[in-house]
Amino acid sequence: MNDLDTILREASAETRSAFSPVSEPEVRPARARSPRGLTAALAGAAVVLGLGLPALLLQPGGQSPPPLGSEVTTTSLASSSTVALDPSWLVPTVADVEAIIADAEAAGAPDVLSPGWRPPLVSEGLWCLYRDSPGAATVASNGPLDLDHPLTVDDLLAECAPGNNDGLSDTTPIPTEFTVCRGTFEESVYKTMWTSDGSEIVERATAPVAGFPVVLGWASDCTSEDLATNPVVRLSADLELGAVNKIRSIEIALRGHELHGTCPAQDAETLARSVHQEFGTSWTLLQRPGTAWCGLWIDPEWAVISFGGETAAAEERLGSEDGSSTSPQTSPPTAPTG
Amino acid sequence: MSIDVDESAGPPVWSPPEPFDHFMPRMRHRVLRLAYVTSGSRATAEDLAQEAFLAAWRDWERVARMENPEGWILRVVANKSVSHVRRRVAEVKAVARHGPGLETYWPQLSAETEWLWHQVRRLPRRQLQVIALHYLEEMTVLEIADVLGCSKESVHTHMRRARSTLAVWIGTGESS
Repeated sequence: MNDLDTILREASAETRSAFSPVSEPEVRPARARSPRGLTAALAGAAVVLGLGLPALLLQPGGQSPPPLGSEVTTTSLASSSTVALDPSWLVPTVADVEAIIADAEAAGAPDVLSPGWRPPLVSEGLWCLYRDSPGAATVASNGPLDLDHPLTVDDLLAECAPGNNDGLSDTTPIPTEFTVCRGTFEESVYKTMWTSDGSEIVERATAPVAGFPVVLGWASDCTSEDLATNPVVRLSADLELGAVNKIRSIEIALRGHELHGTCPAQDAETLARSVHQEFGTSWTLLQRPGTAWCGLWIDPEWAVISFGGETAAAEERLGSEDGSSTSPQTSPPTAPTG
Repeated sequence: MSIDVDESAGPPVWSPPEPFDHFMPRMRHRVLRLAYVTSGSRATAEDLAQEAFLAAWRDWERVARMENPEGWILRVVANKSVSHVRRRVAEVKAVARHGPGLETYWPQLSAETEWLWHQVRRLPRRQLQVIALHYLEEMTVLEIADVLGCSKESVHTHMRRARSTLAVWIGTGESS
């Protein structure tokens, strides 16, 4: 029997070897199709589409969504080379909620057996910051996940209250006042990160991003705060919770819907561009190489839409006679500001 | 900033800090594997690595001039990996970024190795970090103490306790 030290060393050696740069295969567009390709696409699109949503989609009593599981919606995405997003997909239903919960339970998600647990949503993300304690990036996902309970200011404050996250140490005075602000990052930081990681900027954001909730554990006007966070977050007092809930609503609709569809890889860019167009100029659109199937995902904190998968543009470059490189352009980092 | 180099006098004793664009690809695989071993999730590991590099980039002027920038970023990712809140957020973000249908390249480990790391992740936070840094990153006790910001005695204690526990869980004898 091997002793513990030997077992750990062998496992470590295998892990180092597996993660070594030379073990990574050359990336080429694959022909395979993912039976669940739409999962990534819609999970991402759910949040991306939120702020660019046509108003009619958010009006109570508006257009009824098609039955979930409908072959029509699946086919419309899978067979069309020019994807037209069906607005009715973006209206959440009770079945969407049930599908999200059932899928999380089936996947054995963390904390699934905890009382009151339900799957968190990316659109429920926020920061909690305190005067004398480390802050926490967390999610206000403690309330019910249903269509009758949008995210409220109370939900945000409850998430940042003592006991709900470990950003507040036991020795810190409990805040008696809270302020809800809108936080935004410098988008240039994210661009540099992703281009260094091998992705390629397709379209740059040209407008200020919508931002995300930042709860301060003290009274503030938001704008005058000079916070020592990393990355630096700029605060303003104009958080629109309605916009957050629009994102949340769409995330529920599309995450529920994605359980029923597939997505050809070549639709990734088309879908991403459609989403980007819906949103306008506030989001950066990136192409992320190395993914074989249709995938579209987002980071709402940074307002970035990324897509992977086989694309016509990538095929063309790889097949070009002059053998021109497909390596993305990387921009040198700007010196961080004080 | 520039330096004058007298080639006849041999190499300069000062060299400019490594550009971030060089540092990131050079360290990416080390950061990813440490994040994976300590978090147990591929998507979370990628997210944590991204956050760690972002933190480095934001403060690169200072980090690049540190004696051990590699140790600094390994410390960042090790601490992020074992934080419940950070992991939870990373997992949530990973849902949006990756999803089950998005297949990016990821190395495959044997079932035995995956199982072993799973056992390691059951250890208390500091013990997990010490084991990962010692075996995976092949760091000495002194190097681990430097990365984690603790004494070498503390590292020894965590290492001893971790080995004792793992020996029971794995059913092996502990090496001396």
